[in-house]
Order: sequence, then C-alpha cells, then structure tokens
Amino acid sequence: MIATTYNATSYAGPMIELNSLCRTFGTTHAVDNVSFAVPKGSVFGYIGPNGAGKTTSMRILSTLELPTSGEAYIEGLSSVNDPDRVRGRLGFMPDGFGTYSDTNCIEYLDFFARSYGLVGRERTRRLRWVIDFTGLRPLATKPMRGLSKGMRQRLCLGRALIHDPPVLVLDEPAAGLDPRARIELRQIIRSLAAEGKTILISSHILTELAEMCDRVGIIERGRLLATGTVGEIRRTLQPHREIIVRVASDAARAAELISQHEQTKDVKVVDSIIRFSIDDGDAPQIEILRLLCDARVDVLEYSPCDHSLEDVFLQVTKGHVQ
Amino acid sequence: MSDSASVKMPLELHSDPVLADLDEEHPLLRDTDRPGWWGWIDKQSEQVSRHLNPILIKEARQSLKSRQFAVTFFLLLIASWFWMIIGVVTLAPDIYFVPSGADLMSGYYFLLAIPMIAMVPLAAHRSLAAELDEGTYELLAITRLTSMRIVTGKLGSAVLQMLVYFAALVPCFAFCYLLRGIDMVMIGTTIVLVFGVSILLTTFGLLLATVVQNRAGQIFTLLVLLGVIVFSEFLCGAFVLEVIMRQQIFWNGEGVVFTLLFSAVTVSCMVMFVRAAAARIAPITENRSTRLRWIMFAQQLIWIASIATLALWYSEEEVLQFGIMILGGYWLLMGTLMLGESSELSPRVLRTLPQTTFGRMMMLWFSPGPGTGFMFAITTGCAGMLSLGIVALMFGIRNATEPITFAFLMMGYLMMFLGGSRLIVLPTAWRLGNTFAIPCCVTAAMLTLGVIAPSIFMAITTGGPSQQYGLQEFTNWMWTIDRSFSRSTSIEAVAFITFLSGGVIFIVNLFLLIREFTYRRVAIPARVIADSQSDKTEPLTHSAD
Repeated sequence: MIATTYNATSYAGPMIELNSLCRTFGTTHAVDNVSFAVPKGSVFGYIGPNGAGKTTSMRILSTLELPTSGEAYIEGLSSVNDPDRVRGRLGFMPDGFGTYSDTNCIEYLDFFARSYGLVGRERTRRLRWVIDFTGLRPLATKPMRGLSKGMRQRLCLGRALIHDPPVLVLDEPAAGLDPRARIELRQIIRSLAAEGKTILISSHILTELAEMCDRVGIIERGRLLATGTVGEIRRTLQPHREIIVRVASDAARAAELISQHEQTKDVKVVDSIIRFSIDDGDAPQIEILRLLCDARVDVLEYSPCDHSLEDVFLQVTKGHVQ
Repeated sequence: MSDSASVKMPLELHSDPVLADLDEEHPLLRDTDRPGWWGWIDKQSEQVSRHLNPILIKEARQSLKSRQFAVTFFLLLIASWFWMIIGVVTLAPDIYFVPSGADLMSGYYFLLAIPMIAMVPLAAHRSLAAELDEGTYELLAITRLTSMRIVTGKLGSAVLQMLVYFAALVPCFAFCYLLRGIDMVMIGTTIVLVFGVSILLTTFGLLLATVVQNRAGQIFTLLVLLGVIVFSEFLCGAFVLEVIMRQQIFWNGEGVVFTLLFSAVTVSCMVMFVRAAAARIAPITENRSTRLRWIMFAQQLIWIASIATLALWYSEEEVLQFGIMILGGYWLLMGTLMLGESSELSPRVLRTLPQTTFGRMMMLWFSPGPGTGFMFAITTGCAGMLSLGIVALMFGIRNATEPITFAFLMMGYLMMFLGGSRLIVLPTAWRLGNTFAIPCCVTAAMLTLGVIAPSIFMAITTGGPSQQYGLQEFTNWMWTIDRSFSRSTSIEAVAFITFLSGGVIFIVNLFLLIREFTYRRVAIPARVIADSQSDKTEPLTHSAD
C-alpha cells in the first residue's frame, strides 16, 4: 500500500492564488507584482501579448521557477515552500508537447501514472478514464511520432489529468489547433470545470477564452492590467454603454430626440444608424426606446454594442513588448 | 477528489472495431485481479513493478525496442559467432592439444567492451540530454519523481542493457573456459572490470549530460565523453591484455589492498557523479548541495585511508606528498564549483537546515550556498592534508617533516587561489547571479597568473626570467611542487610564505561571509501543518487491492 499525499482536504479558500508575485531576469521584470485568485471550479483566462509574463507566472505556479518575491499558492499551499505537495495537486500542460517518440500513447500515460505514484487498479482505472475522456482510445497503441498536433495536445492534456489533480494550468493549449480541435478542447475544458476542477488557461485566441472562461486577467509587460469577467472589465474601462439604433427614415429627428435625453451623450448619425453612449443600466435604455416609439420613429434595430474580449484586450493593452 | 468517472466524455473519435475491446486486449488496461493463472502472474508482476523506478520501466520499453539497441545486439551476436569460427579455424588442429582459451578471450573482451564501454554510456548521455533538450524533463520534474530517481532510473536502464549484451556473450566465455588456458578468476576479473568501467563511464556521461542544456553545449559534452571513452577503451584494453590475459593477476596482499582501494575510490566517484547529476537537474527549490558535500567528505576519508595505507606499506613519504597534492587539487576544483552555487535558498530548504545551536555548530558548512561551500572546501581540505602530514609524523615514515611541510604549502595554495577566486567572483555574483562558469574561469586565470607572474616580475626587474628557484617563485605552484618533490632546501620558507599569504586571504574572506552565516529561523506554514495532519488522519491509498 503506497500512501499518496494529494488527498482531498477541507480547504475552502481560492484554489489558485498569486500574491504580489514578481520575477525578474536581469533588468527585465517578467512578472511585476501580479495578484489574483481563482475560486474552485472556475476557469480563469490569462491573456496578454507574447512576452507579457503569462508563461513565467504559470511556471512559478507549477514549481518550475522561483519568484523573485511574492507567493504563488495552489490549494493554499505555497509552490515555493511546498513544491512536493503542490505537484500532487497540479496538472501542468506547458506550451511544448514533451513527448517520447519511441513510445505509444498508452505507454506514455502509464509512465506518467507511475511517476505520480499510482499503482494497481487505481492506475488502470485512471488510464481507462483518461483515454476515454480525451478520445484517444482508437489511437492508444499508435506510436506518438505518428500523432497529429491535435491528438498530441489531447495526449498532453491526458497526461496532466492522469493523477486527477484538482487544479489544471494550461499554457496555450489551443495553439496551432484547427477549428474542430479547438471546439473539442473547449468542450473538454468546460466539462472539467463542471466537474469541479479549477483551471488557469492562457491563450492568444481571445474568442475561445471568452467562451470558456468565467474570469480573465489581462497582463502586459509583467503587470496585471485588469481582472474580472469580460463585462466587469468593460464596465471598468467604459462606464457608459454604447447603443446602436437603426431607423427606417428620419434619422436626424431620431438623433435629436435621443440627444434630448439627459443621460445620453456622443450622439452620432451615419446614414440611418444612430450611435450614442448612455449610463450603464436598463432604465435609461427603456426610456429612450419608449421616447422613440412615442414619437412614431420607425425603429428597425435597437441594440447595445457589447465589446468583445478582443475589444477589451485592445483597449487595456498598449502593445508593448519586453 | 472528484469522482472523475462521472464526467461526461466530451469527445469520441471514429470507432474502430479492431480496437473496440482495447481494455480487454492491452495489458496496461487489464485488471490485475483477474482470476486464473495469468491473473495471478499479472498481480505478482504488478506487485513487483510498483517497487521499480518508473524511469527504468520507461527506458527499458524505449531502449530495448530501439533500432540502435537491436542493431548493436545482433551485430554483437554475429561478431561473436564469427570470432568463434575464425578462432577455431585458425587454431585448428592444435586447439585439441594447446590451451587456447586466452587467445579467444582477448577477442571476446573487445567484442564486449565496444557496446558496454562505448555504446551504453553514449546512449545514457543522449537519453538524459534529450530529456533536458526536448522539454520532457520539466514534465518529470512536476511529478513525484525526484531528480535522484530520474538519474538512477537512467543508470538502471544502462545496467539492464549491459546485462543483455553480456548475456549474448556468456556462451562464448564458457567456450573459452572449455578450451583451457584461462581460468574462472581471469574471466571473472575481465567481466567485473568491463562492468565497472562501463558503469563509471555511464555515470560520468549522465553527469556530462546535465552540465549544459543547450544543443551546442551538449555536442561539446558528447565530444568530451567520446574522448574519455576512447581513452578508457585503450587503458582498459591494455590492462586486460597485459595484466589479466598474461596471468599477471596478483592476488597477494598487495594486490588485494590495491584492488580494494581502487574499488573504493571508483565506487565513490560513481556515487559522486550520480549525485552531482541529480543535483544539477533538481528543481531550484531543492537542497542540491548537502548530500554532495557528504560524498566529498566520504571521498576524502577514503582517499586519506588509501594513501595512508599505501604510505605505511611502502614507507615512502612521496606517497603522502602525492596524496596531499591530489587533495589540494580536488578541493580547489570542488571549492571553485561550490563558489558557483546559488546563495538564494528557498524557505523550504531553509526549514530543513539545522535549527539548533549545536546542529549549526556541527553542520553549518554542509548547508548549501557559496560561502559555506568555500568554508567547507577550505576547512575539510586543510584538515585532510594536515591529517596526511600527521600520518608521516605518527608512524615514523622517513623524511617525516617533508609531508607536513608540503601539507602546509598546499593548504596555503588552497586558501590563496580559492580565496582569491572568491574575492574576484563576489562582485560579479552580486550583479549577475551565481554561475559555475565564472568561478572556473577566474580560478583557471589565477592559476595561470600564479605560474607566470614571477617570471614577468623578474623580467621587468632584472631584464629576463630567473633560471633559479627562489622565494619570489612562491606563487608559481607548478615549480614549487616540483621543487618539493626534489627536496629543495628553500621549500620550508616558501611553504611559510604561501601559508601566511593564503591565511591573510582566508581571513579577508571570512569577513565577507557573515551574511550567509547569519541564523535565519523559518517557521513551517500553518497550511502545511494542516495538510500534514490531514495526511496522517486520512491517508488516501492507491492500491491494487
């Protein structure tokens, strides 16, 4: 009987926590005073341009780097102070594949299961679960050198999951994948989160992250510029909401009516489309729509202009690299 | 932990009828408690394999089905049969009357030595270098495998390959024995020697693989390993042909003492190489130094015991001087490498260091860090050299004063060159961090300067280098050591000056070491204590049963 130390505890705090984390390489501040926390069962998207400090923070969390100052915690355990305990609770998928060309998928997973201390029936159970979950069963005996990039990515995710860790750190898992593989990866991540796993994921494909993440953190030049849901960040950046109205005719009169409302500003007319900003909240929007309808303006379309994660990202970051 | 079995399977590839019952077919997915004879075999195999190093299992799977292994193995088989046929044909018909086993054995030695001394260490080097180069090492580093288990797994796989190669030639050795002219002791000695050299070279290859992690550097280390392998093949071959095959094995007292001492030094080197390789790849949060220092300490004890035994056996002071000289060089090298250690220790490492006053008094020099490393090298090295000097005085070896004078000379050089290196390295370490390259370059430069500085000084002051040894040559360690072995009359004065100069440099260094020696108590975080208690009360076991 081999006892493992990564059993569940009654820990109730954030599963991932970065506290004033700093890492410098010479004069470069790769990570500069980054702090955020990720609660259990949520997916946190870590976005930023190349060289922003995403991978360095993830490597510190995964016990592969030491921070210059600050702390990184997994399930309340410091990755600096207690790397052994952290490793048992963490599945890390780096941006490189890290595969052995002379082995097949099942031997690869079996090796990592053994490396995490799984033995006997437990190992067999986890092996079966992982090859089923990642859809690798038909390719289980195929040599790794013959796998496509998408299949390798699944295998690497399977490796990160083999010891059933409560926390997953995924560095650019969607990089280089075709659209179908990306959609499948998104499904996998959502189902893992639904199962209670806490996931920190970085990606350049912002539309992907927007759909799968509960919260995002935007990092540039080592500094965390914003954290929260996409909506929260947007509201922080832009407290006014932008509304687009398309009318059948008489756009000028409609614009005049809109501008009469005390909570509107920046009213612009282009052909039959009127754009304006309004204080966030539902009431002013309802009032303006009613105003237009009462004035018998033929409204074809009345919609808030929601900013995508890409818009938010472009607004928050300045495109600096280091 | 969640019950992952309940998770919806989000992906399904096309179904393949051949692989539909994969879990029934593939041994790795089979339940280990199946009924019947094969089930029992599976269960026993599982029981055994859970105690095996996972790296050994993976490496065995990889290497035993690799093309390189298959080609080498079958070439070895073909070559051994070919040599047997050639031998029998060329020796016939006298083979029935003349003992000719030794002639055939010499050929089999080379057939065994090529894969074992050349191929296996190269394969082990490549295997570990590839892990570091291709990024798979980081995946291993975040598992429960320690760096030591990774390195010993690679070594175990190499030994497994050696055994397979050896097994291919066992019938040939038996054939040699049947032909007479060679006894079991000679065959056994040859095999043990080949295994010993092969394991030593494999451990050295593993260490070299960890020295640099970029591709260009790895090619350089591979070339170094190749050079060492060629040299070892030559040396080992010469020993086997000249000493073993010509029946010059001396199993008298002298031979036994030599063999034991040589074996002890060799085994300590193997352990040192393995530990050093593990330390090189260990995560930065680990204590990578203390165990290595214990091995250095043990190596010094083995060396002192070996040299003292040989000195008493032959009653020659040169043996002691030789031993002191090697110790001086050893500690200068080790001390220089320790100067490159990181001075930043993780809180976890700090927690494991001695916390009591007595513990710190006894074990401070074993704590990781460049300052403690410097002190460890100086104090242990000086104690070792002094011990060998005292051996001469205690046991009345002739010219007993010479070893003790020589010990003081070498202690002076150790303090002078290592202390000087540290003084130069210190400012660069503050700015650039600690690396092994800078102390090595500085020490090499200082040693070179020490040799040429007196000549330059003399050339400036007198118009040409001095042809006569004098006090001004005290920094010229090469000439001074040569003069010591030639029993020069002025060596006592030179030893005094050298020891004095080294002592001054050492004292200056002491003042710069205070920060590293300052006591820092590190408390165990409350979360760790809670987690440890949770482990004790609710141990989750992963078991086959």
